[in-house]
Amino acid sequence: MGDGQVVYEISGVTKRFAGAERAANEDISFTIEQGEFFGMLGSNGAGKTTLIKQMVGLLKSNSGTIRLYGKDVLADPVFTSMRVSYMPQTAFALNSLTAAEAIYVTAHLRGLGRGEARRRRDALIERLDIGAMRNKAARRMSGGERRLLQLAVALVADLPVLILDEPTNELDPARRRMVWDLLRELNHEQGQTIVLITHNALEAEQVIERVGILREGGLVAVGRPAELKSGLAKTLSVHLTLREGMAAELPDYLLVQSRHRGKVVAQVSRTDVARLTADLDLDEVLEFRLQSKTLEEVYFEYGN
Amino acid sequence: MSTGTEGIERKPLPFHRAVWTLFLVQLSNWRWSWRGMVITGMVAPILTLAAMGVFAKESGGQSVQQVFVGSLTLALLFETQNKVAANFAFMKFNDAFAFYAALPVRPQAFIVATAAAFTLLALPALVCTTLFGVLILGLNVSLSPLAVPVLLAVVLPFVGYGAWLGSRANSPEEAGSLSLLSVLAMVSLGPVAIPAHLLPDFMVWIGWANPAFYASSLLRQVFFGPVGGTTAVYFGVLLGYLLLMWVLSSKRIAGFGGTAES
Repeated sequence: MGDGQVVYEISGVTKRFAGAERAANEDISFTIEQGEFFGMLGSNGAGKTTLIKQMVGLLKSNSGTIRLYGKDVLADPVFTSMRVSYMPQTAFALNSLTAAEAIYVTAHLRGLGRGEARRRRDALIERLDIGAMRNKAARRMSGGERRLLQLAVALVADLPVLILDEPTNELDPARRRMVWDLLRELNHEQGQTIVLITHNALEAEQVIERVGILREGGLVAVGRPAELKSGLAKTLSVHLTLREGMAAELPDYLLVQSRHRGKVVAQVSRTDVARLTADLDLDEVLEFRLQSKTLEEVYFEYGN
Repeated sequence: MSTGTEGIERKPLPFHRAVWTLFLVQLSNWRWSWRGMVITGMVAPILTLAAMGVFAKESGGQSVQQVFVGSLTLALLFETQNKVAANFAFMKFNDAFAFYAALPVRPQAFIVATAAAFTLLALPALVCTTLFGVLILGLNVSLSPLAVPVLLAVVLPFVGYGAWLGSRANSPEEAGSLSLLSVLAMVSLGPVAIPAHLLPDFMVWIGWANPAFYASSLLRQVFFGPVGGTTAVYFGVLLGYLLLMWVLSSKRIAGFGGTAES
């Protein structure tokens, strides 16, 4: 959790694009504290990217205020850009440059001296294990390579606040894990405040301290994953794999959600857990897993 | 690690150093644009020059000069307006403006750097077309010392128009088509590549509203003379056009480091 100092204070923010049927986001209010790892979840078009663009000062809100360390983000763009590093969702801006050039140039444009920019570039290339694409032009990179380069560019200036729009998209599992490890390290060891949008709720759950869930432009839930889960925690998920050919009768208090080729997913009330283990013939069950709600299930519950 | 409220020690890059760095970034477009430069910036103007020059020779020296400066204008339009339109359209649809806007860099630094880079990138086409023009048409060129300021006065409005066009387009493809159409229209409408006495009156009149007309006239004056009062007036017209394009382009890329897009 953050250290109590408010980094972002978002109050009653609404953004409406000309000609759009509904507001991109409406009456959004929440705060983010120094050192927090804050996740934003929501389906496509829920208004997440618009909101973080407002937070970076790239979009003007129709109403409400967004304050960064107490200052309106639009009042002093240099104040904002010297504290917030933003990784956009879409393709890369410095496509004509190689990876090494793009990282160095961004560091320099963010005010780092030449020597420091080179040192930070080399350290990041090593940390992100992208030495093989060091001299590769960004426009010739695969989606995953470009994503890593975007991340390196966002991290190079070592600013207090990182805002990342889907940083693990298009990455393979090993690189996704590396990125989550790196973000956790930056948050825990260096105290960077991280705000990120992701669709990967299961992976994000390992690092996110607080989460905001957007639906159709509204902030429908905000809190620690455990708090949000506790609101839905009247049931637990049961995952069973039955022996082939077994047509086991399942207890009638199990709410079966899916059953296919011996694999069963069901919900069980917390009060029925004890008798479930007694009622099931565990010799006929290859796998029996009882699980509390995941962040993904919380997201499905609130976000859809 | 800084925590923000104390303020970070680092300062934004000074304006001139930001311009220089962004100039180098924009200059790196050479890596993909050189093939296009050879085709549209060199081959197309030289072919125009060769084809129209044959007929122009029969109409006298003034016509040959007009074909020459018209071809130079065509080369510059392709290399500046067309390239900048493509560059800005690409940036608009790849969220590159958002990337730059999130950096502590003033939008004016980006505009100046873009203009400088694409002006420099246009020079090979300009030199090549000039050399071939002299060789093919047998022209006797005496370059005025005003060539450099005139070249800037010619090129910068084209860069500004390309920036405005590219940042307004609904897609990169639309930007490409509109820009090509603009180049062809600007070379065709008015006495740009064809002398005024060979054009119908209405075309000559339309030419007064065409910046390419002033560009080709200025080029003719610095290459063949005479340089005088008309040069200053046409120079002023192009500067006015540049100012208009600066205002329009700055508005289009609003949000880049200052006034947020609404």
